[in-house]
Amino acid sequence: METANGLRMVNGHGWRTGFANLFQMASGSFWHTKKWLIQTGIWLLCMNGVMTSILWKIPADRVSQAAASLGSIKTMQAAQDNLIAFAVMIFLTVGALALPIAAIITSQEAIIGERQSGTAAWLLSKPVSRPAFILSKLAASTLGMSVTAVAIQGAVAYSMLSLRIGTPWPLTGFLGSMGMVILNIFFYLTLTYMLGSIFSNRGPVLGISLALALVGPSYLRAIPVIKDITPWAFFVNITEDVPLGLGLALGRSPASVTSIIGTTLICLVFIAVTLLRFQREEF
Amino acid sequence: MSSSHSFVIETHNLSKTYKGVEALKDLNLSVQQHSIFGFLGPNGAGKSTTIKLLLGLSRPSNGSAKIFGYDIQRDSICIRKRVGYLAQDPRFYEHMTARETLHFTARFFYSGTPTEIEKRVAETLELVGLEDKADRPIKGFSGGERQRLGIAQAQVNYPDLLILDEPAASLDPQGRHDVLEVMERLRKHTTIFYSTHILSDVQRVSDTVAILDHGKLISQAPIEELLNGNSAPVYTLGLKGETEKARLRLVSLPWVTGIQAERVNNHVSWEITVSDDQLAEAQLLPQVLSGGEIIVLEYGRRKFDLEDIFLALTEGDKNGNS
Repeated sequence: METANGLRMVNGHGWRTGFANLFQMASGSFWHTKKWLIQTGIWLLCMNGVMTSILWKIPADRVSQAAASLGSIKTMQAAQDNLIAFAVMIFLTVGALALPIAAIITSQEAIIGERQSGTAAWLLSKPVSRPAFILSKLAASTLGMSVTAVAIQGAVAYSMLSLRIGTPWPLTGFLGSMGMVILNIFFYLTLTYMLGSIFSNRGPVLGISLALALVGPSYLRAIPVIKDITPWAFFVNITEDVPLGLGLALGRSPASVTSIIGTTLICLVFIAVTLLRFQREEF
Repeated sequence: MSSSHSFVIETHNLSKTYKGVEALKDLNLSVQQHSIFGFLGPNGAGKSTTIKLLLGLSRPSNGSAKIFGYDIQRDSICIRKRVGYLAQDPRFYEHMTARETLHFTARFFYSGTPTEIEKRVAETLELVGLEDKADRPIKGFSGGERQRLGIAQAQVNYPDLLILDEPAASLDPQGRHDVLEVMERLRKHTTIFYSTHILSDVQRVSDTVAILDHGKLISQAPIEELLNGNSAPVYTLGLKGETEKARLRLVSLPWVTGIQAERVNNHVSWEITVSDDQLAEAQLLPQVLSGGEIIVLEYGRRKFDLEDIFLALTEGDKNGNS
């Protein structure tokens, strides 16, 4: 439908109503400012800086030997003894520890902040569905972090590794490993959103999500089943075997993808709870 | 168009209870198309609650309501496509400029190139007189400028219904004047439903008024009807001279039900209650003057001030409740 001055009416229906505009706005406030450059720089320093310095400290005569034995690494001890594998492990571990904290801090305000400032009520007085309000923000946060902290860092790390060993690094496994880093971030983003929809102030949101990120992995030995529904064992070893994420990055085939499927399902549960809670919210 | 479609808003026993407290009780409201409907009541009367229910920001505890024939709960998005809303304390993204805010708002309703949308945005900025401040971040805006931006964003989609929650409450006299002027300019394009506790604003711009108190609708009527009062028509006269003969002539008329006389300085003031307004309009003054013994200084049908009506109704409601 066209209006008198040539503008066309937006014909959004159902849950997607308002999604495109909200997503564009949320993404724009990240990509159209220096935020993305700053974040990219920080992650470059934290993740690739450390890994690259390790890689280039390996004596040249030991590089080819280390590269040749990458395929046979099966235990954590072997990974630590191989300096190239160790560099990859550091890259993934820094990402596994720091990225969830960044995800929690940047998303803790997403719902509570808008609710408290009154902008949520303003937006929801427009043709905007409540799921679109939540999902547009979640999609924009996930995209922002996936690009600056995973895709760019992964590309730099892949280039560095290939350059150092003199041949292309096994791509498929490395991409799979990067996918697990994204899933790890997504787990904490969805968790924080869910807590933001349940609580009305920042304390419990920040407290619970940070506690889970920092302390959660230490319960893996006590309650092994949680490794199947969380990303906590993606890059941390609870047995002598190399963890799934590291194994993939080193070019090993995954022994089991249960934890990937379980974590994905848990993320979907978090999203469902968030949507249900927000649907009932009154302004 | 059926008769029910000439009503933009219709509520049926709409109620809202918050934690055991009834904020709104069985509200039955009908808002005529193309009217400026003043929703009047003291603070805490349930005005904002009603507006939030109509916009789907809150859920009714009981009852129902329709806007443009759409159910407020089931079809909220369809309703919001045709409504513009200004909150009591409008909040926007502080880092954005007024122009960016209007572009963002317009994109919920329209698709088009930035140039096409800019045309609409420029029109809206002009309507509220914010052209010169359009590219400043909102965080530096005064209360009046925010309110004008609020009206602009509510109007950006040419809504069929504008819902304004206390649009002039936080403004200085000049700001209030500006906002009411914008409302008057918009009346030919849209239906305006606005809440206020400022009686003079209602009297100035509204054609229909609903009075709400303690969550209950006390009265709903066209403003003229309300100002004329609900009791028998009363005519007032200021007279000089020999009034007794004229008084006797009047009391003998079957449609004159009472005369209250009061001496004020050097003249007499009468309040004449009549049972037949048409006969009174045609015959009252000729009857008074027929003897030729008095001079009429003032003559008119008594109109009530909205404040009198409001106080009488809200007091009456309190007494009725007690």
